[in-house]
Amino acid sequence: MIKIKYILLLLLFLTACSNETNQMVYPENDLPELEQVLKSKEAVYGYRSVMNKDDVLVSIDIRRMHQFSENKIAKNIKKELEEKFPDKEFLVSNDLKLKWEIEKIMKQNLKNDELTKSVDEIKSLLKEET
Amino acid sequence: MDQKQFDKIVERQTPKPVMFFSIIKAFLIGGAICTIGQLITFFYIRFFPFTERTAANPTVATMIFIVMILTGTGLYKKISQVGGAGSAVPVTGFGNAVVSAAIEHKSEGYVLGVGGNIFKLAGSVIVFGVFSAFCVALIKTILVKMGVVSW
Amino acid sequence: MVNTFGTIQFKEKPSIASTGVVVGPMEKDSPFAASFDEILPLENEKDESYEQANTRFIEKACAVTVQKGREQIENIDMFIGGDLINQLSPTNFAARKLAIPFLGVFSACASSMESVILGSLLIESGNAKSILAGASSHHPAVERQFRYPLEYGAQKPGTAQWTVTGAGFALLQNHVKNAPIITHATIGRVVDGGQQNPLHMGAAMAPAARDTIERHLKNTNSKISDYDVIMTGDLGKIGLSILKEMFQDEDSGVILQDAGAQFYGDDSFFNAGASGAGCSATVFFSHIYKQLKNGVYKRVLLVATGALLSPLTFQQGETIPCIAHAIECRMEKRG
Repeated sequence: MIKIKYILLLLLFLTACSNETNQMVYPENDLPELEQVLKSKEAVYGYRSVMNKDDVLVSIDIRRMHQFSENKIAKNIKKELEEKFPDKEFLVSNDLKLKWEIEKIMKQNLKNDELTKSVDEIKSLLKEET
Repeated sequence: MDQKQFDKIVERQTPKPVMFFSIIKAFLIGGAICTIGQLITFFYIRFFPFTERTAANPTVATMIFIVMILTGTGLYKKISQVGGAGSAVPVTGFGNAVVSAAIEHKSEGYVLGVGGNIFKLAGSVIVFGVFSAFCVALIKTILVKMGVVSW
Repeated sequence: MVNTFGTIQFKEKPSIASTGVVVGPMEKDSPFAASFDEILPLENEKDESYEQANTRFIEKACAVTVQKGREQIENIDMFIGGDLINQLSPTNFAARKLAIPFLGVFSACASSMESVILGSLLIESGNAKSILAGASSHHPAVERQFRYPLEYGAQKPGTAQWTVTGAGFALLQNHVKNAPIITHATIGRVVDGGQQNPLHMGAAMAPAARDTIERHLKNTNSKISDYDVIMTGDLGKIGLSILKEMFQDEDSGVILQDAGAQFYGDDSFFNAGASGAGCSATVFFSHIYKQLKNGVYKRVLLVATGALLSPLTFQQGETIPCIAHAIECRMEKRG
């Protein structure tokens, strides 16, 4: 019985903190068109974006049933964005690490050198294969 | 008494396991193991430089380490008596098979005992795992070449 | 000695002078625990393999038996024993230390009774005066040989049985006063009930037990109700109910009992009960022996059942042939 109680508690704990949609861009209001593109996507319910010089990191939250084709969705968004802004380099992914790192940047309000450093770090992390 | 009568008696006297409860138990135990695994994945993504894709490796290593301790203390045997397939299918079942064989055959020495028998149970998992992966890859390659699906 | 189709009648009254039973830690909660001579706290000592531990159990049980029988090891004419491990190595190794003439026997879990029958025959023929006979099994060692590694988490069905860690030996001597005597023995036939599940031994062994009991009753012109108890070795709870249903005798309800079904009480951890050569040997030579000696039982039939399978045969899809050897013990009136 005790075992079952713990499992139920665990389930409650896990379901309690999720489902908040967040749509944020950092630094604010830099690329209004980017938000338009992301908002038009049905499969995407939340996004965070960080821009540093020419690099744009976009983290997207994909709806549950669309997660089967998450890579395809990210790729399409990337393509679309690159067509709109040919001078920028985009990195689109639904990876949790990207989302959390972007949130960290937003929270700490990083600027200039620090921002460049952490953006480069994230980029190299996501390129790792294994 | 002929064979048929005897078979009938055996069937009547042998208790049938209640499938429904077994499935529920397997689901709960298997689900709990996977939940722990997911929490460890989150832990690695949050506090270490791992992405969702790369966090799988340290997670598996950690799970196997935990199972190693549970097997050594005799706890995993008790979990699997309740969980059945729920505890055998995740990577923990594989770890348990390897570790238990290694513990068992330590008495015959490290080379012929542990080394020779460590994959006694897990060996078939590896063989058929590799073989089925090969088959699936073959089918997918053919389908991609035919243009039915893309990578 | 008269032999009618497998049933031997002993005229010289070979008797069980003393017994010695040593069990492991899992057996201390058994309902029979009070009658065991020694309960060891560990299944194996540090730096000792399970097979070595099995050997030690045998040596200990033999020492207890000889000591209780007020005999010296040198005066024992022969040592007959068996276990479940490959090539009987634990018993062979124990015989190395005992250094008395040795016969190793194997009928799986029926080895306990087979050794007693052989011992009785040697005494009957006048070729020996005192014989040490019995059998042993060791749970971790047997589990490793017949099933999976000990710590491997394989789910056991409700029909599975738990091999007893224990050794039971008896000192057989030429007619001792105030000791149970062996009057008859029935040597079993190998019977195959067509069962294939190695985790459901009770069903496989029940036909063999039935065959032996039936032949014994027929050859000795007796019926079930003539006995105080007919105890089978290790059919387990399910095997026992199968055996009872096969007899369909109204007396069989109480008289037919099974050592394996009772060994661990109602603890569901052990599923259908106990098994192994040590199961029949420890119960017959402790509980039953004491009841006979105290005069509670006057006439009992002890049937040790054995499943003659190896890990190889059941993996190759063979059915499980089984055997059962029986001895009939009586307690004569004191005086």
